[in-house]
Amino acid sequence: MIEVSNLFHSYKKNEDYAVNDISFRIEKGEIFGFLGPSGAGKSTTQGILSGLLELQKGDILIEGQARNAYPDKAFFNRIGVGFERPNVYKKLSAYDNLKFHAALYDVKTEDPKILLDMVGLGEEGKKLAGEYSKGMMQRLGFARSMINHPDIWFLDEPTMGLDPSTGNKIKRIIRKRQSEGTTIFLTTHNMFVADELCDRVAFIVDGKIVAMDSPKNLKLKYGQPTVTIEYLEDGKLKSQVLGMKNNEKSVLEKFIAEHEVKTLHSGEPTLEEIFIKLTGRGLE
Amino acid sequence: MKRVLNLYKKDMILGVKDVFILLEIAFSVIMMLLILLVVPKSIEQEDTVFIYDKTGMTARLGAEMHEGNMQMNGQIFVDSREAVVEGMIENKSAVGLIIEKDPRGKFRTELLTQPYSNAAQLNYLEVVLEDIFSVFSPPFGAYPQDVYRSVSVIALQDNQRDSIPFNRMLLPIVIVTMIGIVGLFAMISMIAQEKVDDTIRAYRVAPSSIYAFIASKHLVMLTISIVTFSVMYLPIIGLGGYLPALLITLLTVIIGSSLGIMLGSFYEEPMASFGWVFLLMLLFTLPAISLLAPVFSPDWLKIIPSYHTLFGLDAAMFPDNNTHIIGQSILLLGAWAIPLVLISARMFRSQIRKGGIL
Repeated sequence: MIEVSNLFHSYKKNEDYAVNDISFRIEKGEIFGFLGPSGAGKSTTQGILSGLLELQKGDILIEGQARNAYPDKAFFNRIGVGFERPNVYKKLSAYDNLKFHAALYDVKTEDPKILLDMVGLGEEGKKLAGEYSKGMMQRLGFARSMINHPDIWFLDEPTMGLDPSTGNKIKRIIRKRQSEGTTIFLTTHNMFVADELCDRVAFIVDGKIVAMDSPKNLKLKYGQPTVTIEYLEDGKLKSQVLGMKNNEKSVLEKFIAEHEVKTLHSGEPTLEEIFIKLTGRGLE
Repeated sequence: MKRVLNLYKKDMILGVKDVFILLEIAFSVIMMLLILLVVPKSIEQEDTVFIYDKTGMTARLGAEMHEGNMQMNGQIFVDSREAVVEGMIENKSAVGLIIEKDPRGKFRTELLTQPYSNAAQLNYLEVVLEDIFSVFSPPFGAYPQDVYRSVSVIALQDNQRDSIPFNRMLLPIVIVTMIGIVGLFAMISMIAQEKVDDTIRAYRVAPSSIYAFIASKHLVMLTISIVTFSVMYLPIIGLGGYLPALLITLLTVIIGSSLGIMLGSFYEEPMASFGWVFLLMLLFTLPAISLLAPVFSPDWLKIIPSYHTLFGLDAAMFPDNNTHIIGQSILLLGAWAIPLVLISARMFRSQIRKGGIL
């Protein structure tokens, strides 16, 4: 369990905060999504939590234990970090990249071959990482983040730049690790990935959390359920979207009664729509 | 230690694959061959004088000097004016001297010079001639018979410098440039590569310290330096003074590498730091002037570490009774290296923690 209270961070060490008084709690085995546009403070928060950046102000408790400004080796032995940029040694093979990183840990590490097979690079493990496509390098970085069987796993845009099939493979691995008890902190600006994977999400804009709940609750709380109706009028197929709130039900019933309805589809708002509604901003 | 060795193995593999280690070794082989085969062993001009002496006076003088164990070097006697000119055409640094007597029996000389003859050399010749003529035709009285024998030179130390070939004298300067300064740039490049590929960020979330990361880079630089130093030193100098010279070189490499780490802390691209590298190169090669022309040796020059590298290497390579310089150089270079290693490591850690590479 990770508990973050009143976290601040300023790169210039002044009042210009990249992360401004944020607090949240992640339960063990939970996938917690941190969503926001570029520059919102997602990577800074992940940087502080993973120990890349100094904990300037605020508290981080890992299973009730306060973490120092810079974490110790024990902390790094139990975390894994998957970065957005595929930061691998291009002149080393994928296998040697993993072998090198495995030797940095004090804990039992995963066999590089198993990890490469898991992310679909088993056949090309001996190839230099520099000869990989960007997506393959991304998968290699993802595999590296699992080398020490982390029980706290930080993932930054884990499916970005991957084709849908590979993206699904990565999502399956994430869910499997979650089912094994790994706590996952996922930063992304892809609302579909967040919606699909996360138990809870926090929307962050300008260094502040503006909303935090499960994707379903956020949609119920802030979204507008709708019905899309396809109907025939003058021999032509037309469509109409109507709300489903209590005061709109009579309009819906009347519309159905008065038209030759062909199809009816209920719809719920996307997380992205909720984000825009709450922050007034898009995610790019 | 296990982590440092793991990092060292990775850095050596990357160094070989990035070709910079091979390039460094190849350059050292080229430099060694240039010094041995191309750079002349001597660049001193021989002061040759072609003499056509119609009077026979110089021959008599030569006989007297031989009796007094004096040497007459660089003088070639010929039997015609044409032979003097021919000799001067063949030897462009030579001058010519024709000696004859005028009808009144007085010595008359004609000095033939090259268009670029050194004025100091000509003045010297004029003084020598005046001296010689005074011996044979004293302006007053007579010269004492032992005038040349009465002068003796007492050396305060055995000076073997005259016997050191010029090409070998260049080796300390080449080592400082090739190993010390190139090492500085190689260190900046190694660190920049980790930043550009962002691999240092992945390393920072592993349970291994930044100090181990830096120690590995130092070890790589030291390994390359031992190889390149040996490639240049052993064929040119041999085993004599190898170990003290190596120690002096390695301390210089540590100083250069530490400066490289400091610069690497602030710059993401090696070329962005080139202004500083160029400035340090100038500063580090400046003491070479003092080595080649010891008359230029101001106190401020001794603050530059490479001053002690150059003179320490010189003393180790060409042993004379200045062996205390070796120990002094090792101590002074060590006094530079130890704090620089510590300061550069802390500076590097502090810079990357500031989030400059996040």
